[in-house]
Amino acid sequence: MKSIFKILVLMLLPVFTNAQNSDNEQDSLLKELRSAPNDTIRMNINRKLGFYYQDIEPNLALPYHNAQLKLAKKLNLKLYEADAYEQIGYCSRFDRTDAYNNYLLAFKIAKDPTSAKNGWGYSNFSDSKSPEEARQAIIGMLHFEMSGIYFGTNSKKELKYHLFEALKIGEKLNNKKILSLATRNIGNFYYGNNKPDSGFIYYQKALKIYKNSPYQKNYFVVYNRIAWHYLDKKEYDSAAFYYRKALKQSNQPSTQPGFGETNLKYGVLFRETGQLDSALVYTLKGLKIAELIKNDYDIADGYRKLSKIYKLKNNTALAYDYLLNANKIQDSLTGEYIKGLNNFKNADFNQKIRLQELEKENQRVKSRNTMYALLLGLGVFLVVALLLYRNNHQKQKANNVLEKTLSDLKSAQSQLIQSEKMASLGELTAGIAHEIQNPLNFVNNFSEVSSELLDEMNEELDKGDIEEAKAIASDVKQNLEKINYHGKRADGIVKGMLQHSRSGSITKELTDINKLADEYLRLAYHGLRAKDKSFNAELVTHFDASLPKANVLAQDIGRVLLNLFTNAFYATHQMQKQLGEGFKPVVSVTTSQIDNYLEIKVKDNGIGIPENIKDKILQPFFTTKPTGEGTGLGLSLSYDIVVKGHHGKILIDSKEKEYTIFTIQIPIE
Amino acid sequence: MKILIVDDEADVQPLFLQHFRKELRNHDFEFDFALSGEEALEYLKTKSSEVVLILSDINMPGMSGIDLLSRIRHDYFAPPPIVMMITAYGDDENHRQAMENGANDFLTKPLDFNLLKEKLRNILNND
Repeated sequence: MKSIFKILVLMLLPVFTNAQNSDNEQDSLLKELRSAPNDTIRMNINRKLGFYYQDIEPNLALPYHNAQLKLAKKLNLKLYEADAYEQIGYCSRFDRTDAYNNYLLAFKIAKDPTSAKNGWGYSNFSDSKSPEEARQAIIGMLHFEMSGIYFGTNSKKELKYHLFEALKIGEKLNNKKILSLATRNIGNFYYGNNKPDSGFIYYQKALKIYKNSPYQKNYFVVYNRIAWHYLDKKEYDSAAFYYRKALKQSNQPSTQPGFGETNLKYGVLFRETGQLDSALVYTLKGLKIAELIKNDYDIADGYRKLSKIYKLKNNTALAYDYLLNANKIQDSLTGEYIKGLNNFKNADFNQKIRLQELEKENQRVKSRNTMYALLLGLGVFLVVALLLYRNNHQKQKANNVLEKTLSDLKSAQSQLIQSEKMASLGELTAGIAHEIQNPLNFVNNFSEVSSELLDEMNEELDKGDIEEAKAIASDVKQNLEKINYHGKRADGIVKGMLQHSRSGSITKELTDINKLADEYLRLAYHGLRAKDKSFNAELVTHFDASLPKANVLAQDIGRVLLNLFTNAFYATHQMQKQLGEGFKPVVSVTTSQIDNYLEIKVKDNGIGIPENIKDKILQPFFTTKPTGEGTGLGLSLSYDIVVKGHHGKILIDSKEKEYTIFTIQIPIE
Repeated sequence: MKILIVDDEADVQPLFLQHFRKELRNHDFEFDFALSGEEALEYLKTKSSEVVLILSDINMPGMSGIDLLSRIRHDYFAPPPIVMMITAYGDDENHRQAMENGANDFLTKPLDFNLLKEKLRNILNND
């Protein structure tokens, strides 16, 4: 038995030589660590030392990765912090819960995109120097490591999820390490789920990736798996071919996980093909590696396999011993395994609940934020609505004010028009009084004289002078006609005056413009004379006797004429004041028909209109008269009456200190 | 006695003729009429010597009664006629102007023909 072990030790020499080389590496790393100039390098060396121990003796690796973690935190190198948790997790891989919790911490850091911001040595994580790729590579590796935790559990969903996430990231970054590891383990996954064909495809893929990859670690595991595939099918030649490849490929430390297993499996091939000695050699080799790296599973497996070989060798006692050993280890393993599995299940379950709660909390925060956003939106909407409402309200208010102002202005305007009428009525009153006085005088005088005549007539009749009585009677009759005539004249004047002062329009009627012009000319003249006795003017009329009657608002046109005449007299009166008695005022009115227009021309030889106010005189409230004497509405109203009321025209021709001619043209309808 | 009556209202003419029909029949008075101041001056150019008295309205278009009076007084008609002014506006201004221009009397409308008759008789008798 001991000699066998010696042989085994000799056979394992190359393996230990490798380890010896690694020891050198470890020594130099430790030397470097002591002389490290700064924390960054110190952290990096700690990491490397951790890697050195990870596979052989995870417990020895832990302090180095913890040192890495501490320094990464100190230097605020988030990616190295995440990486430290990942490595600590890997070192704790035999306690799923521990590993799991460390992976979660790593995930939490790496998933924050800002973790790549502050960094150094990004190429330690990916082939690129990009910080973001380094971060994603870490996440990819974390998915891969996380998947390892779920191997051997019932959580196939999670296992598959993490494997394919790792694959996705590996493909995205074209990261050969992640790709090869994920692809290989996907193969494992399918094998574990009785889909060897799918698994085999992934093994082939993994091989292809390894061929062109700078990352060669665990390459042999793929060969081992393929070999196993053929072994299961009892295609021993193919299996042997791949086992040899696997062992040849593993020119790295014998402490790699899976290397022990490879040897054990190769032993199985020899056992099944009846080469029991070779089977024994490889089984012992596998067992040795398992013991070296304290892989109890492989140790138990190795003992079981030894038992089977010795059974075939008919060494029942030894076979029994190994089986007992195997079972003993297996039992404790199974107990621990179940315990660990349960712990992990609890941790996983708790984490899931935590995640669910986190999700719920996120939802709550989200819905709260949504509600706040909605409330804010509603608030903004309300403010806008309020502003709009206020605006609208103010507009409406302004509108109301404007409407009121407009109606005030309208009523003021109508009042002004009315007062203009009354003002011109005032101008008229004296003229009218004079005009009425005359006919009244005649009425009185003729009635008086008639009464006397009738007395005389009686006398003549008494005398019997019938002829004389008849002559007197004829005179009396004439007188009565005169009385009637002058009575009607007074009546007409009063009616005209009433019409003039009446507000509102009456209907258009056929009007004798000549008569209207004459009437108002006299009214205006006497009106002015009544105010200023010294004023005198020559009135000249050129009335076209053939002028047709015009369909007009007689009262309105009368007002226009009165206005023009009053202005004409005023202009001549001003002229007289300037030039003295020698000046003879003349106001003339001419009527005529020109095409289908009826024309009234009012001319005076007064002061004229200065050039600079010609375009203003038709504007409302424009007046040259002293304050209180004119409303400034006369011409403006005249303009409205002629142009707007009768679709006519008012033309102005004037020369200062010589003459003014106002021409009114009214279409004959 | 020849009297010239100046008034733009033609209807004053039958009034005078009727009121003074007795006097006219007796040829105490003789009336001539003018419808404006201008017409009156034309008339006076030829017949000023015959006319003893002129009765004139003041408010007439064109030449006013005051104008006419002033012309009569300035033009030295010989012998100077008696001029009586008649107006519808019996105000002081008219009265003052009439008197300043040499009117002999000032009457207001409506004319009191009986009063006028009295005045005319007095003039006739004094003559």
